[in-house]
Amino acid sequence: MANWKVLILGVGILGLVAGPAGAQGPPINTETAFVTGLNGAAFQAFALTMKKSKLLKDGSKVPDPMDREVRVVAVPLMFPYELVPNRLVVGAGMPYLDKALRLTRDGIRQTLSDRGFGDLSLFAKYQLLQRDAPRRTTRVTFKGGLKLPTGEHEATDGEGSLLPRGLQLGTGSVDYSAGLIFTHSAGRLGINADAVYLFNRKADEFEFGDALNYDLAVGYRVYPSVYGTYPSPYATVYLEADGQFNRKDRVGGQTIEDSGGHTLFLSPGVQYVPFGVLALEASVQVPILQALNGTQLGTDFVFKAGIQWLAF
Amino acid sequence: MRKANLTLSLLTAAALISGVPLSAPAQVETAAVKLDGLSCAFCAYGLEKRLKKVEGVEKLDIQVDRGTANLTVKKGKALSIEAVEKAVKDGGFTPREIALTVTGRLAERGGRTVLTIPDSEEVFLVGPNEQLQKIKEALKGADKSVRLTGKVSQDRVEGHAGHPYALSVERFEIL
Repeated sequence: MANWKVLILGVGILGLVAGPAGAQGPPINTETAFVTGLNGAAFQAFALTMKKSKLLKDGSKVPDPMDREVRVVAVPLMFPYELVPNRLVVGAGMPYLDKALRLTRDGIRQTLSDRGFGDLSLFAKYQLLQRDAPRRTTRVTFKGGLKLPTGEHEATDGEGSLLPRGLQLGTGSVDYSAGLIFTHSAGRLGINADAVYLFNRKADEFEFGDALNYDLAVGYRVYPSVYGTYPSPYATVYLEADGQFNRKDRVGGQTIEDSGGHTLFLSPGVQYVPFGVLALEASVQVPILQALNGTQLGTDFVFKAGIQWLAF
Repeated sequence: MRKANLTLSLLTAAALISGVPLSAPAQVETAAVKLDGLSCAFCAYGLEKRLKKVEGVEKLDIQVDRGTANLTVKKGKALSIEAVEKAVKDGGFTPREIALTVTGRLAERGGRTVLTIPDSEEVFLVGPNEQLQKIKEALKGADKSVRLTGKVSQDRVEGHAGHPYALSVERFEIL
């Protein structure tokens, strides 16, 4: 059975990404501890596509009799708002999702799919520490989140059977998250790191396992060598490590053995800012470690491209 | 904000705003703000937006590599130093030093040389340094306008509502 939890949580976490500021431009997959640069409402959107087609058993690729392939396209829409200047940002986000599972059953190639808006996420980022020096800064921020079950979680196929959990647009549960974000930025180099714990609750006797997501991003401004007058165009390259520890799922009080595990992605990316309020970015996430429990579909890659637009 | 290296004896705010008019009003022409924490271009957006909203600011130039924000003040308009500092802090950074270019005429009040800004509560003390001596020697008592450039620091006087700013002159020009 495919590990749908990773898909949904991955999109949910990406939906919690907020904050435009950070090293040379905020990292692409990692949070930034900056809570500024959001004078009023802002708008962030990106398209993410994920493909899973490798069946893994105890970490090794095995033949998949159903030849399963999962594709997810997600477009999270984020609306952060700076409630207390340079101290507290609140916001909301909701992804538009297009999920599809192709599989062979009884010799027939089938496609199960669903598309629409996912769960609504509310978040708050509070800056705990700010240490400024000439042309450098270090910041630490707390982030908390609440995910509401606004997305459909009981969609059915053409025959009236419930779609797999991972194909549903929402989880059906109210979930929480809490974490810390660290940023150190100096000149052309920036380092961002975050660790966020997801408390996943039960819905209809099903409960996704809790998760710990952690990220580390190193960014380096490749152009120009000296940034002069703001705003000027610039480009930054990133190398990020993005990890997820997932506890096993539970249904009816019983643990699902073929669920949960640890995945670590290496994510190179590039970001171009043509002028002050718009960033164009793209990254590809390649799994370098997939220690999944039991037999599950592993991730082939995740590709992300999008914009960050400080519209107001 | 770090204080400039001044040797000042402070007048009380009550004495400075006692109602005795100065000989002529002063005009802040430019303000150069050195700020800490400005390490990335993307995060300068909030700083730009807040500084542009400060009353009296006509033009703004942010130099990320130098960590400076240079403001040009509209002619005839006053500029509040407190508003500039607040805009920098709310914009996400730490104001370290502000240098002003101010035009006006000097006056003596209570044994100290002062400048006041029209239509503003800001009151400037002028630090008794070597540059001030040169200005007085150049003026020789003439009632002429001068353009002063120097660092500003804030000295709070306990028990008084006013917050006089002190200017340590680095350069001057007799107009």
